[in-house]
Amino acid sequence: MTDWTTLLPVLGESFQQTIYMVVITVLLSGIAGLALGVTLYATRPGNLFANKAVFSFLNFLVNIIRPIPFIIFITAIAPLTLIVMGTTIGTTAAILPMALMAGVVIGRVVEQNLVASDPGVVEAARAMGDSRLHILWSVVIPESLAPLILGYTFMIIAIVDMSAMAGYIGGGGLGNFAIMYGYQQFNWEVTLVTVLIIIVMVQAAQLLGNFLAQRILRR
Amino acid sequence: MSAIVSLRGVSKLFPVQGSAQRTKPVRAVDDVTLDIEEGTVVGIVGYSGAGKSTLVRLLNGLERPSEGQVFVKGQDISTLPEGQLRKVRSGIGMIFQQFNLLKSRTVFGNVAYPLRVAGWPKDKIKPRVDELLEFVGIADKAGSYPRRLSGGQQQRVGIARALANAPDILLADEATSALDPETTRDVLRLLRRINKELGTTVVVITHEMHVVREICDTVVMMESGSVVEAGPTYSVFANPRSDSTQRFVATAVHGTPEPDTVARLSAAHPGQLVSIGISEAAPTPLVAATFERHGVGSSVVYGGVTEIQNKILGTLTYELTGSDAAIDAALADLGDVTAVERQTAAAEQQTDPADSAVPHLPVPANAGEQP
Repeated sequence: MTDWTTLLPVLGESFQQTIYMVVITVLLSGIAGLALGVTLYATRPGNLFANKAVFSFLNFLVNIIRPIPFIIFITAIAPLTLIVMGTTIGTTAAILPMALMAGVVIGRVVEQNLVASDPGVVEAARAMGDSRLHILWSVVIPESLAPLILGYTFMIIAIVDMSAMAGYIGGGGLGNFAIMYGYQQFNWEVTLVTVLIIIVMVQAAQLLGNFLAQRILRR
Repeated sequence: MSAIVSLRGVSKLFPVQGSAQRTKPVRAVDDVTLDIEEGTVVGIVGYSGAGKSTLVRLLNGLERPSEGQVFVKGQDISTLPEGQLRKVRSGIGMIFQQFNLLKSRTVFGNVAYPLRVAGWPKDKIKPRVDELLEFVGIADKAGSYPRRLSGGQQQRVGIARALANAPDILLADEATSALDPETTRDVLRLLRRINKELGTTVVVITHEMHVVREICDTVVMMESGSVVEAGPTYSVFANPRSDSTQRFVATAVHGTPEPDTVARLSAAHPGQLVSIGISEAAPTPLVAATFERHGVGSSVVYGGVTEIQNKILGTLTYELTGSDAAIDAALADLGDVTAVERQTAAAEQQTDPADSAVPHLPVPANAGEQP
């Protein structure tokens, strides 16, 4: 019999830690990823700020970081985490590797969605005398908003996934909870409950993303 | 009249993409010198890849010339920095084959966009957009998104957007190529109206000769990046010099019958068949009078005439009856003023049709129909 009276407060705390890690990471990586993705798109040969050196460098960087398994990435950048965060253990320390990895992946997702957009509207805006920076902000991004929202939804779910792994370095959260109280104590009930909570979180994020994207696509 | 746009020895080279070894760059536009007169409608015509789309993008600085100079209203824009180029561009409207509307904005938002870019005060934008939508005839669609509109309506939004800053020049890049014939006619009429009422110089890029026939004052023929022929629309249509111009003209003006049509015609009409070029120099009354003077009976069996810049042009094939001598004399008279081509069924005579072809008569067209 599972002792829920003692476990429930721990579960609540773990849930809060997960929400904290996911929200902060989504905010940080969302902004950084958008900047990276837009830069990759804009500097691509033939585009508004075509710049082979910048594009090649960023492209190379993304290709280097993206394939590294996240659990290895956490330990690989531990020295950097120590400098930036002052510690390598705990929820806050987990945010740096999460935000870096997620930022790189979001950058690629953003770039791919922008590259697939219609170059004709960019040309039309240029023909009107619009500035290139203004075009990026008020033409390129709004025109790709629906696929961008779906891309971000996908990434929020991937970040929830990452946060579970961050538990491994003492990051806390639901992943840590499931391993400590479920897996390591052979308590399937705890594992199941944790998994259900994560499923509900992911479903909620996906439904919200689909709803927003549909609203934009329907006009 | 003076030139509002002038090109002087303009070339545009594009590096060949994706080739491993160093290949020569493509000359999309090759040494073009051209004047576009203020207040006219100019047609730039050519096959795909002739360089006409690149040429039009040189006019508003979307492309910079590799060689030569581009003058817009007397200003050399070929070396202007981007910031100043933007000011030039806002004075030049542009419309596109695929309309290129912002799908994330309403019709109102699309037309207001260039006004916001040009820094119009907020309270002036709304009346200006309303006025523009009224002008192009879609005032009721202001709140719709482009996706909800037909192609013709979308192009009207594109035109309203292009006119927002009251440009002196309007560039139309294959603006009717994605539209059905009826919508095309409406859009062409609108372009004509813009030219007449607002005095806007209109540059039309097209591969459709009937577009040129409908609205252009002058026509520029392009082939592999170069201008092969340029002049008033009527004279280019009446006297196409290059092969490609002749082929283009043949798509919009009635020509001589194809050999199989000739065979059918001779089976039905025993008299001598003759194709006569009809033009300002040889209008139908003159042709009729000539036949009458020589006592030759004539009836039209094939062809047609059309109007270009209010002048008649086309080819009519007559069946002639009368003595050989009279027919010869009548045709000799007509031969002095226009193209005359005797038509004989190829199966009987075994002659090469090229031998009898008169140099400046349009090549056999698909435009002709039997009356």
